[in-house]
Amino acid sequence: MAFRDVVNQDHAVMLLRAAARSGKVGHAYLLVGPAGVGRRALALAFAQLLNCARADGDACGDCVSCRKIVSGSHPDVRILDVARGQYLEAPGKEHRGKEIPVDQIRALRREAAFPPYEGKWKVFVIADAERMNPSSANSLLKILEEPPARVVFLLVAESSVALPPTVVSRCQLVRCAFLRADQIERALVDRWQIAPDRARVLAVLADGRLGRALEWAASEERLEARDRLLDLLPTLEGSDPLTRLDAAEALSRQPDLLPELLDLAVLWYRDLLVWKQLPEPALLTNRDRQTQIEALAPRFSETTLGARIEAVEAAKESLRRNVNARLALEKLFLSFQDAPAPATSP
Amino acid sequence: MQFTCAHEHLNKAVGLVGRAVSTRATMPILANILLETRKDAVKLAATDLDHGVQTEIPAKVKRGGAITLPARLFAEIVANLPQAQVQLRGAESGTEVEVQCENVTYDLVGLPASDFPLMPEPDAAPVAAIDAGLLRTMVRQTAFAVSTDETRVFLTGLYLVLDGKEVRLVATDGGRLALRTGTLGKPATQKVGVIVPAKTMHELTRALTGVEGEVEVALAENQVLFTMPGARLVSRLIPGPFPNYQQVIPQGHKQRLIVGTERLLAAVRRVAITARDSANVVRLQAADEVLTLASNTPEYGRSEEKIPVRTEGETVATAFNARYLLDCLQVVESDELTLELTGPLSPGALRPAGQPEYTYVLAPVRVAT
Repeated sequence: MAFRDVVNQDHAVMLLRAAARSGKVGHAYLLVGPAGVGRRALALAFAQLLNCARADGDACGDCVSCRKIVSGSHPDVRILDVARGQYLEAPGKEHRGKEIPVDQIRALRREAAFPPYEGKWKVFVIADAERMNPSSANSLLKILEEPPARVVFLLVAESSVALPPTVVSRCQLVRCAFLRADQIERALVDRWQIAPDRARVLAVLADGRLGRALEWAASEERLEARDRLLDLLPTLEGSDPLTRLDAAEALSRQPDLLPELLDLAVLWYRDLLVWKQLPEPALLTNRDRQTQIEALAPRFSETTLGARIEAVEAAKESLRRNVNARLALEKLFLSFQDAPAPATSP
Repeated sequence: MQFTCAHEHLNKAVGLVGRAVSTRATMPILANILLETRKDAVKLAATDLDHGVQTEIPAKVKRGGAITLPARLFAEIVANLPQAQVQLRGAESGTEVEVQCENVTYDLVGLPASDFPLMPEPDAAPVAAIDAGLLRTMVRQTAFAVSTDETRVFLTGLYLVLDGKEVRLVATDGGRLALRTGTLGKPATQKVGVIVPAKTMHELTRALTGVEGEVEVALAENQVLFTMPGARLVSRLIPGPFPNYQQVIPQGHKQRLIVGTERLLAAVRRVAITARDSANVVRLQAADEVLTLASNTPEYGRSEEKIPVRTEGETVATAFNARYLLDCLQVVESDELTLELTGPLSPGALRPAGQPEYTYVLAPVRVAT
């Protein structure tokens, strides 16, 4: 998990490496960027570099310190990530896991008061820092205002807007950008040995986030769900309403995957629309489905495709507002009744 | 790794180091006990990063190596094994360990020893050696006064001072201060002033129960090591500085009371019952060889008790937190003690008669008259 394993966050890597090389390490960095672009990897790489026994511009990845950081057992590199259940001390019973409770920040402050146990620097990574409630943020502010020596706080957040300005102003900002699809594709092929065909699809699906591509790549369940969805969508056009209602019910049984599946549906109709305008394989998201797209595209009018995309977006919005998943999908699928454009009939 | 040892030794050692395993830690490795072979011995160690315990037991080592095993599981297994020779055999690679005793076999999954936090070894000779009994008494008479306020971490520990032939422990939470000095058999090799977490000192006294002999104190970077017969306790130090406690100790006094410890303790206990406000205020006033203790909580009632006392100097009416008084009275070992008062709003000093090595200073409570 050294800097060389971080994919294309050149600016952030340069900034952090320069800090470590010059010895002018700030007391707090705010790693801002969309989820899945490598913020956590950056934070761990920085922790490794600061503590590495054989650092040479980058962590060696092989010394005791580097290995301990990767396995999560380095006493001086602590990660607070409530979403993944990583706490600084056992959380209270009433803790639900949405917010970063203030007792965790208190534990952090107590821990930070001590010098490093065996490393050179103490590093605290706070993932999803925007989950801090106001009392947590204020508690953290106390220690950001008077940071102990040889302690670095790495706050990871999607945006600095959701954090109190008092906290943001006491951190050095490190921006992490979306990755280009071709960068993700190359990383998937080179570093994770994913077959080029699949890497292409995943890279586009990833929407700039390598982490999301890896999540998809690691999950057969997701890939199967995608195949089922893309097989399903064309069959719904003008079919018996009962069939469509059944399909809605079946799909609503995967509530966790639903938002991403709807994203896929949008991309699917987008591909059809693109193909109608410009039949160019390089422009497709679902490149593995080119033949199907080629066959289907003429059967849709542009207006219909536009309506489909709007309907799916509306369903996404409903889900976001906690509408019952099955109802939202039923509404979506029942709207699939306009007969395909007449031009397609033989 | 492969060794054989006596069940009795292993059980005792696992129980001893197991106390350092944290129940609140969130790092998996901290829930494990480290087993590492030495020459004809096995070292066992556990730590919660605040403090760690190491011990060695004699063993027949066939193959050297190290592994960590889940502390609770391993302790439960060892406690239930028959009283015989126990053999532990680690896999050539991987983290599996076979525990065998007579015809019982367990296969356990551990974590690699390389993940275990490094525990400091004393890099120099011990600074001083303190008699185990003396150290126990010193901790008992001071540790209750530490602060529990995590925002002032430096008050949550005991200040350990080694200076020439003197050893000193100081604890304060801002409202009271306990100071106990002792004499070393041999002068300390260097002057030391470190803040040791109170929890460590409690664990140390627990480990010292029934131990005769001396405890060697050594220092490593940010850590202090206490080596006692059969075990070593390592603790990280609280970064200082410790407040200047000397200036808190009153130098003179206006009135001195000499009173029986048991008598005063009983009286404070009784009067404290009606001291139910947040500060548990007990008022003291001594005149004509009578000490009057009184407390009053308007919603509940009041109480008063008079006890015989010998007084010197003018009468000073004052009020203290009953809990602060009780904490100290319970650990004083002499039959009589002196209470020196300098004024209604100045701290009082409590000293056991004939024991100049113990001083307890407590801040008065401001009360409306």
